[in-house]
Amino acid sequence: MSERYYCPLLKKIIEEGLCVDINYENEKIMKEDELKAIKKMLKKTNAEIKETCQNCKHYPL
Amino acid sequence: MKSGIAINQDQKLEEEADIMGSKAEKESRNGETQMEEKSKVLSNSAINNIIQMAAADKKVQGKRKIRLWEPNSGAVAEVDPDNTQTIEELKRNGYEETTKSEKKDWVLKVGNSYIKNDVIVLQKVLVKSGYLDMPKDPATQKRVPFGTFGELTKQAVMKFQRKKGLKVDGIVGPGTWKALELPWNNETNEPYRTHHQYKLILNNNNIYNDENKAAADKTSLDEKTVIANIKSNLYILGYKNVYNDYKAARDQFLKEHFDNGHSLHADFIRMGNGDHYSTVLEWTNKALAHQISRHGKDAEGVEDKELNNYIDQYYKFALEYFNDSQVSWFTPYRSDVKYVWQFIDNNAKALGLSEYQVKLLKADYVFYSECTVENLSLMWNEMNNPFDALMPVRARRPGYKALNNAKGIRSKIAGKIKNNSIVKSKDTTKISVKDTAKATANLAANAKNVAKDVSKITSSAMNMAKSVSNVVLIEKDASKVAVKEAINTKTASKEMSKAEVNEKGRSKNVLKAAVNAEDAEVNEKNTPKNVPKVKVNAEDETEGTSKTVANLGKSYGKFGTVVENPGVKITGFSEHAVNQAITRGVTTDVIQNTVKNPVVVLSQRGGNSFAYVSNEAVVVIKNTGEIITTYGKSNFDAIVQQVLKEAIK
Repeated sequence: MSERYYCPLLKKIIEEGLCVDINYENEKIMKEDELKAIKKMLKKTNAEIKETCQNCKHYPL
Repeated sequence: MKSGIAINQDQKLEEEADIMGSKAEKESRNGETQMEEKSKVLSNSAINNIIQMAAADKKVQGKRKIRLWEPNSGAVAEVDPDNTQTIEELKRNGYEETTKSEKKDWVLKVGNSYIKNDVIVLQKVLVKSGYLDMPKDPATQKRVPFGTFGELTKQAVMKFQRKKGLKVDGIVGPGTWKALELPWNNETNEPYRTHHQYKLILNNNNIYNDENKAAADKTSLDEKTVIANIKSNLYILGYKNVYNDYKAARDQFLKEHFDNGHSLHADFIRMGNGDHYSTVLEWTNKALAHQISRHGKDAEGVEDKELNNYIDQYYKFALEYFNDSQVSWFTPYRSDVKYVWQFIDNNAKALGLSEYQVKLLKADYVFYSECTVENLSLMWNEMNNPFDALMPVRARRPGYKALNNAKGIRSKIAGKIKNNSIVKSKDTTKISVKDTAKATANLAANAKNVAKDVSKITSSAMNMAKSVSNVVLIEKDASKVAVKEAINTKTASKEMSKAEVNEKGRSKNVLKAAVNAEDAEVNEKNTPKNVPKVKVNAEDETEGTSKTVANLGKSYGKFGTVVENPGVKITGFSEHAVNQAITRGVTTDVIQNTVKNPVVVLSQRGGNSFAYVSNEAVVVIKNTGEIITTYGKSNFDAIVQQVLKEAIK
């Protein structure tokens, strides 16, 4: 079973796959897709999102 | 004849009559919000577990007590004969000593003020069914409050009795009550006043407003938006068929969340509340919040120190209130609280309750007016604000200050929980809607004609079939390898040696990478320890084995460090991976080819997962074989392209 855990960015339980997506996109590994919607929704910049992710206990990927 | 009333029920009735008497006068009370937040904190199943287990245990505890009742409300209390102080206090409040045999058979009729709440429930049901129209006061133009069984009510009862073929006498006995489909307690031979259906009717203050409210909602609410939100909520909750069959998904949700346990949904429908969509939306929101709260420990620990602080304060006020010596006048209440608290403590671990969930539950229990185990479920499920019900009664009691403080802090907790769960859940809902819309758009764009669609579906099905057969084959292969290894120890030794050599090689490469790459991750330094040993055998050599890549050992930051192909076999897909494969148009063939014949493989999280990269896709797979996400080549950004470019130099 894939891991599921609380995401401090989205404030909900997510699958680790979504966590991977967010971080890949924020690290310019993949083109922005999920991240675009998240940035718009949360009104946060890439740097702010990165900061949240870096402070998460599930980081690094 | 009344055969006996459980201690809790009677004690509850004493409170209930007082509270509900004042509640009935407040036509437009809006106490839903706070109760709604409260019910988000713990899952229904956790609460139900507490109720059922506590109620079962409690039955064993009964003992003979002095029985007192309040003639106007019908409220009954049973007190320990030794507790003269409480008995006197109750008598000062209008209670009289009684015995069960003195009580008359239960009936409602003109001039009989036996229990006001029963009359209120009766009248509300008669109004709802169209038999009764409560008159308006000519001076104020407001309707006469419910609760008095007069001539109009009698006429309405007679109309009902006539229609149902009952004896037409205008007196409501057990037969008429049951014919109205109202809950009846066969043990006490009286209306089942602790039943949630009874409470729902009693507390429904929109008897006359429902039609207007429904009409207003229709104009003020965008029904499509509400339904869209319900669908999104259901989708997040795991009802993935919601976009294909909304009704089936909705009914499945309602069945799983409400019919299983206390049939609240069925009762709600029976109440005929016109605002069905909003109700379902509210329930789905609650369920989402429960989903969050099930993982509350993380939520509390990670960043919600503020919420924890509020809960601590709330709990402190509960202790202050509970420990106030003057509150002890109400002995059954104290014993109930102690009992339930002990029960919660004993079962917290088994129920998966976190420290703060326990505190919140305990404090809520203290401040809830009808402090009985069986009513705890009502508190969480009915949309009443316990504080509004509690204040008129408790404000007259010592401990008022702590209670008042608790009310304030409970609002903050509710607000905080709302911010943490519901608002964000709604926000994240948008992502899901977007995903679905995107997936639909992709499908629409890809499918230029129906025939093409059909062929795609057919090929998808074939691919799926292939996948299944491949998995079977893979399992067979694994068995073969195991057998081979067991029989041929020499080969096994060779494999071990090879693996060791490989590991040494990787160690060197990783060290090299650590020197070269500025952003080499700490966990990647552990890669040699954690990377599964490369299996080499005749069958594996044909496909899925490592190819020498130019950038072996190089770290690409979060993307991982290039390693030899560890030969991970696909064992399954996560839900997210399936969704993304569909959304991003990555077919099962491409996924399988990428894992079998990658251009390059990167190790992540110390070998916990691997990114298999081909020119067509990137597949992120756990070392257990589960694919957690996938990307098509259209998603590749600079780093993937760089990895591919450097791999084939």
